[in-house]
Amino acid sequence: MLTLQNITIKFGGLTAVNEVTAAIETGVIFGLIGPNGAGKTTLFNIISGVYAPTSGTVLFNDQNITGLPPYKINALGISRTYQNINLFSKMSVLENVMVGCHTQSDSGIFASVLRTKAQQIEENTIKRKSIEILEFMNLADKVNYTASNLSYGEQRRLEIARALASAPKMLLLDEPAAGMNGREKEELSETIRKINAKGITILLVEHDMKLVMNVTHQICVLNYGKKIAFGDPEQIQKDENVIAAYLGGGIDV
Amino acid sequence: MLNKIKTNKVASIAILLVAAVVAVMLRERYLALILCFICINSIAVTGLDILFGYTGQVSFGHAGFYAIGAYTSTLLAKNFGLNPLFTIIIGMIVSMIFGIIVAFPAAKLVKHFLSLLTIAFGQMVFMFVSVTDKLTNGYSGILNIPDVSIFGYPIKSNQAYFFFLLIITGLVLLFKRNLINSRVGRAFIAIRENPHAANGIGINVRFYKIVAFAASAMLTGLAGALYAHLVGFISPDTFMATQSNLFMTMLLFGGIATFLGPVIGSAILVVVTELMQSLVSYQMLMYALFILAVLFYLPNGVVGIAKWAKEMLTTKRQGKSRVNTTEYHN
Repeated sequence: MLTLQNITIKFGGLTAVNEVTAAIETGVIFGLIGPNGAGKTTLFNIISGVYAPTSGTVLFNDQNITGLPPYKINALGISRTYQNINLFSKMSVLENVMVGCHTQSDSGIFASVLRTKAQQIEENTIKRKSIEILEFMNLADKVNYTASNLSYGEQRRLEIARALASAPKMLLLDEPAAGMNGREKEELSETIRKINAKGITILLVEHDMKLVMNVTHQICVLNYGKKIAFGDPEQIQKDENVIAAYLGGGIDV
Repeated sequence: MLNKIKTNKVASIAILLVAAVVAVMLRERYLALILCFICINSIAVTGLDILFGYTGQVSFGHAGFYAIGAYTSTLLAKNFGLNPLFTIIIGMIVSMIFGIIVAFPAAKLVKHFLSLLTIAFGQMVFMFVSVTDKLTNGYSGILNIPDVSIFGYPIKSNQAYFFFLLIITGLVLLFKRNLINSRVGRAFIAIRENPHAANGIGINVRFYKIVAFAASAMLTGLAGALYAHLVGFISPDTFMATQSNLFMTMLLFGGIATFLGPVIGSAILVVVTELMQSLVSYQMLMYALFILAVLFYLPNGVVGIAKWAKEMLTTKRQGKSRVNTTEYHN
């Protein structure tokens, strides 16, 4: 579904992502892990179009999406959440999800100003669909809350709900468990599996190893911008390079 | 149910009061003129609200669009003898085109950089109408602008013009509400709240910023054209930076990103300006006081106070009823 070919990005003298090649198959939950500063979020930003890579190509369903702006990539079917919550904080919970339906609707300015029949029907569909998504994400009772008044865990769930509203084929989750307590993390694993069961491919960046090992099918490990390991969770846990990267390698005397 | 009847009562009393005031004002030519000014400013400020209130793009150059609407309509009506009803629409469209032209560089800028660009635009239009003697008659201005006529009947009195403006203002407010409560309006607000997330969720931020500029310039241009045909005389003096600041003050004082804010802000500022006619040199000082009042005490303008008061009343009432029930249980 998504193929990364020799992706490199340089910020001045710093090479944040270095010659990373990976292929993500349709329908999997793909984990992307690595120590702080390994380039995980940067890679996310390249896939979602925030940065254009210095070299290399990103293929999505065999279409070259390298360097496209984020809104076009979203329209193609890649949706994302953010590491530091990026909600529309003064809008209500429902409105946040309704904004997410943007690419799934097409009423123009004139239809909106004149409130045509087709536009009203579309509005009702958007509203119904948004409420369905909020029910799925267990936020149905908070529909009319202002987004900024939700708890931290709820805000993270709302971000996922908003991302789902654009009916993605692939969902990028950037540290969705950050700041969650144990119970919330368990619920999150469950939610990720449920989203995956709907046929949405998931790319997950996460620091919580228990969650990653528990939920993913395949894992790619980055360190200093380079891919150092790839495999299923069991392989990764035994991989010497990975252990060295996380715990420090043996000392060469 | 009881609450609903009560709010309906309050609303109808308010409407009756406004209607009574309007009826009294309509008996005199000068007071009717003030009502007309309130309508025109409401339209212009509604335009500014779409840009600043909902999309978060600041503009201190809306007098420029006001001038473009006014001069376009005036020149076409005077030089070519076209029906003002028709030239007002052309004025609107020309203003919209200028809005799009300004938006192309402006959509890349935020905050003070955008302020500077819009100030520069306002000044450019002002300078243009001031120095082009042959086209606009420069500082002397243009006299005897023809009246609007509908189906051959010219609207001469201020009273009649007020009803004409009332219909247009109503339509503008209705269209604005429709626009804001739609997919496009949500895109505007999303851009104001968080442009990066808006882009990430599939909104073409640049496109919608330009759309907001176009809609805003169109409404302010419409207001300018209506102004020209009301007063019958325009000169560059009307379109100085002061006018842009006045629009901004009206918007902030009434309440940004609200349905009635622009109308309330316009009404209060127009009336205060008229009352202070004799102290015209202190006008800017007075606007500054209004802005300070907003900054320190009314972050959401007059509409914000009204909402706050309503909330206080409802919680008080609920609080009382809660006390009553506990007493009953005891």
